[in-house]
Amino acid sequence: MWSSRSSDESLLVEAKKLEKNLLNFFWRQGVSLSEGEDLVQETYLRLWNYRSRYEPTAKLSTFLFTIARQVRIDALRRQTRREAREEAWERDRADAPQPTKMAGDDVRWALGRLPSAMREVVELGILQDLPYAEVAEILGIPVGTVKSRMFNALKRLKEIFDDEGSGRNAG
Amino acid sequence: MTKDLEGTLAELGAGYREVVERLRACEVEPHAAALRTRRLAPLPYLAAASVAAALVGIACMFSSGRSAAQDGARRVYTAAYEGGAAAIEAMVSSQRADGSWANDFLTLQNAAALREAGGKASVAYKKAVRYLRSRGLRPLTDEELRLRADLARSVCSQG
Repeated sequence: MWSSRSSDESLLVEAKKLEKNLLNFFWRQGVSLSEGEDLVQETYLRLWNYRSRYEPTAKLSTFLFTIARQVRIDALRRQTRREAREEAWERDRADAPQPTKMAGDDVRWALGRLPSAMREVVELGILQDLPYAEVAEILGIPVGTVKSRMFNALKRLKEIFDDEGSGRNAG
Repeated sequence: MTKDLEGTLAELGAGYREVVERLRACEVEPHAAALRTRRLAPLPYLAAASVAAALVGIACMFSSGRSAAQDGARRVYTAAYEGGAAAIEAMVSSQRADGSWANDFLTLQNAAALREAGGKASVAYKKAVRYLRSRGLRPLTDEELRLRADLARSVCSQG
């Protein structure tokens, strides 16, 4: 069990090293930078609250991304509730501003076209560079499922990028 | 790249390594958002004085003994949140003035403060930072904090 004060501090030091990974984990899922930073902060707060559950023998990244994934799920639930409340107002709003395209939006857009199950595998297995066994542990699925989802996700992403390229050439 | 991913790419054949490289080229750095948000406008003198008074109050609560500090910290965070924007701003910015918060992320020092303060404090702190962000504010720079600390000291010496 993870209990002593010095261990607590070294846990946070190690977790802090993954700050950029966490921010990108959230950002690539389509959240804004400021919201992403909030979610990173919330992840660290939960890590602190749940630190007694961390076994030092396990990899910290597995523990941290498991928390981060739950933080994202909770944020999506809150967003869904908020959107439901704002739906009527949005329907009446004729001059809603269109989202502007930023650097990296094409990649985020492509990731957004994947089913969430595939997107998570890509995020953890490619962008966070975690071994499939660790991805499987975080997502609570068999390693074989990670492998097949990764295979299909990469095929789909290549199609999306190829379509985008041919669209540009045609345009 | 992990051996697992190498294996999948080998199965998929040519052209997929570029997909991975394109995905990896897209990333952001922490604190990029903070650079985008506007800086705090200079506060009018009266507002600055009220913030300084809040800082002094918070400093006094933190300096009143260990057990009192535990209760005090909880009261400070909760009261600051309930107190509105100026109080929250004072609460968040004051963390750096006494060497606690390095930024608005969890640091060793503010984690220690949360540990001492308990659950309500962390919730209040989180809400406070969100409240600030929703208004385009951000924690203060070192220079701004020094100015406020100087102002707080002058208020103390006058009192």
